[in-house]
Amino acid sequence: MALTPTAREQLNALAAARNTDGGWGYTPGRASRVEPTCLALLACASGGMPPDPSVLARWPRADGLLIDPQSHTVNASDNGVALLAAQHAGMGGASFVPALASAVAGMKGVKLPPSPTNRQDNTLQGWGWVANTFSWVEPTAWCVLALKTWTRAHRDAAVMARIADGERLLLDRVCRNGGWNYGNSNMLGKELFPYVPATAIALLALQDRRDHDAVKKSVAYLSAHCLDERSGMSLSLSRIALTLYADPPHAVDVKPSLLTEIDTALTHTWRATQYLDNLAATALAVYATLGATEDYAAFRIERPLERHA
Amino acid sequence: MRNRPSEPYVAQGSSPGEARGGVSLVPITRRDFLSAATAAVIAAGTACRRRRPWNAADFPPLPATSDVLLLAASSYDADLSDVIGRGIRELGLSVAGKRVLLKPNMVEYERGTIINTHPLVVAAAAQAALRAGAREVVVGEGPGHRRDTEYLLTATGLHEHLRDMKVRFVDLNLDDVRRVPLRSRFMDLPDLALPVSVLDADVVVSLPKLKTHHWAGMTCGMKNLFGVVPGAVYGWPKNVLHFAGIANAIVDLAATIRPSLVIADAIVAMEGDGPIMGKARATGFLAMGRDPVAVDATCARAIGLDPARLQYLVDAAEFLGNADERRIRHRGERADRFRFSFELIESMRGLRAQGG
Repeated sequence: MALTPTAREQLNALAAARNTDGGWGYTPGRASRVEPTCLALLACASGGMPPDPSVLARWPRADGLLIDPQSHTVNASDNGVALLAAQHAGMGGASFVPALASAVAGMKGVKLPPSPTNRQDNTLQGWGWVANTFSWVEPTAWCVLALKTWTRAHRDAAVMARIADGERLLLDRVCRNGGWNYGNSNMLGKELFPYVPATAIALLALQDRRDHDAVKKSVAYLSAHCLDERSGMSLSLSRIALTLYADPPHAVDVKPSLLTEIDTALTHTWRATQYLDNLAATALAVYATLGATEDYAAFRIERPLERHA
Repeated sequence: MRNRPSEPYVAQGSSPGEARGGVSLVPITRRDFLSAATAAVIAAGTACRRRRPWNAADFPPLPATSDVLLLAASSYDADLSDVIGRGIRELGLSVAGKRVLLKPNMVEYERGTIINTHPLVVAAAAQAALRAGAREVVVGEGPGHRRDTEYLLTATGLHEHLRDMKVRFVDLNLDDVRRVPLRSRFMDLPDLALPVSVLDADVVVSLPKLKTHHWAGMTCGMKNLFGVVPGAVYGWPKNVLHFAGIANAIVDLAATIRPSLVIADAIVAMEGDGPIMGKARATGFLAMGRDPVAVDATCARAIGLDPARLQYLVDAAEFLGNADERRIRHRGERADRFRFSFELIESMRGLRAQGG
């Protein structure tokens, strides 16, 4: 896809907002954080402006995991995004990446006993946002997706087992009519409603499970509702997920006109809100626009994984 | 020693977390019980032994009385900026020359529901603060479930209001943070990373929607402060707080943030399975006060709850503010003009006041 005027503006906004340490904050002028930095690296690489990615190699780490320098905490979702980005932003061969993959696989949400308050399996262990907390949809989805892309070249039984754990959790937490929210599909006897961006991320993690009924229902949900939640983040993730699901040989029926409508909505939303200056959302939008030319390689799971017994 | 919340509550995001179900229970051991001769002795002995996880020197003495202003507003079409401006003056809060952070409740969005502080209340509060001479007014929120704040802001209509008024919005989930020690330690956490926009504000105004809450009992000016805990650090939901116990977290956050003012949107409140799935209930008032404990206690009474059965108010009333009705001076409308018996889910019915 050609560099559209909007994508050029967005790339310029990213370039202008880069901090002197080589990273990006969530908004211009703020301190560098893991997630916006990784997404911006991906975006710039897709825009033909690959920045020096060594900021990730220099990032403070503990036991292989990147630390949020602002809070000194380790966030699982951030590290999933970092593993994804590091493989595709010119850092695939960097020495810290294998340790990061291993450390991401080693993180695990806590196991809890059954609860009468909702219908879900609390013994499943995906990824929590931070250590010693329960597992939730988004960190689990980012880590599963990142580890699946990692296993394209690196087979590891422990990693495969964690991927299987994460898949089980995501499939357990799907909303009754498809889609995901933060991670409770129901509460006190009521069905809760799904969110578009959480659904898109979970579908990206499960793109090699498109035969599963929960995945089929969720693709249908995303196709029907992706234009309902208009924001840089939501539309970008929808664009990437639906494009990947529309791919042969096991393509799901996604109308090409829907992808065009998402592109239009992304531009209109940028004009209306500038995505609230959120650089992570801006970077996702750039990647959604320009990453199509490389078939969204960073997010693509090329073949079904061998199931771990 | 406080009870750690039982585990089932920490696996829910939509307001999880209170092992004690919101009901005031002070743990009493069998030995305590056997050594006590009468119920009065039990109560006194338990109070003496109870851990007090705050340093009294860090807090001013409780005021003899706390003012809570009840202002009638039958709909959101009223001139709310005038109403709120009058409230700010009557409560004697000076915002002139100060940086004011308004913290509404914007946890979720679903068309046709009343989950969030109404955007017209937020806009009115911003306008009132600017008219009162605030140097800068910023609206900040860190939604607890959805991380897509841009969507929430535009879908609720708040973005349009703030844009028209040229008032800046800060996504507290993504703001820069600093680690700060907690001024009370009900959670057994030494510190939290909190947004600089909150920490550096001269005046923090909690702008909650009055709702029942299916774990905490009620959410108002104090529970609303969960939204200052940054999702980019602690996630969506902010599960660290749930593991620490929702009542404990409410008190520690209120003790640490110390909001200067609460403006509770009770023009249309939520009853039943709040804070998300409940029903709208027209209540027709705004509650304002500089003592968040007093505002919450007043709102609890207004919806038929007994503040003495809400654990977070029991704890907060020991050192943060006044919950006792005899120490709250109601101004504006008479308190008995706003008395409702809110629908409660079954597990919260123990919170109902006698006759409430």
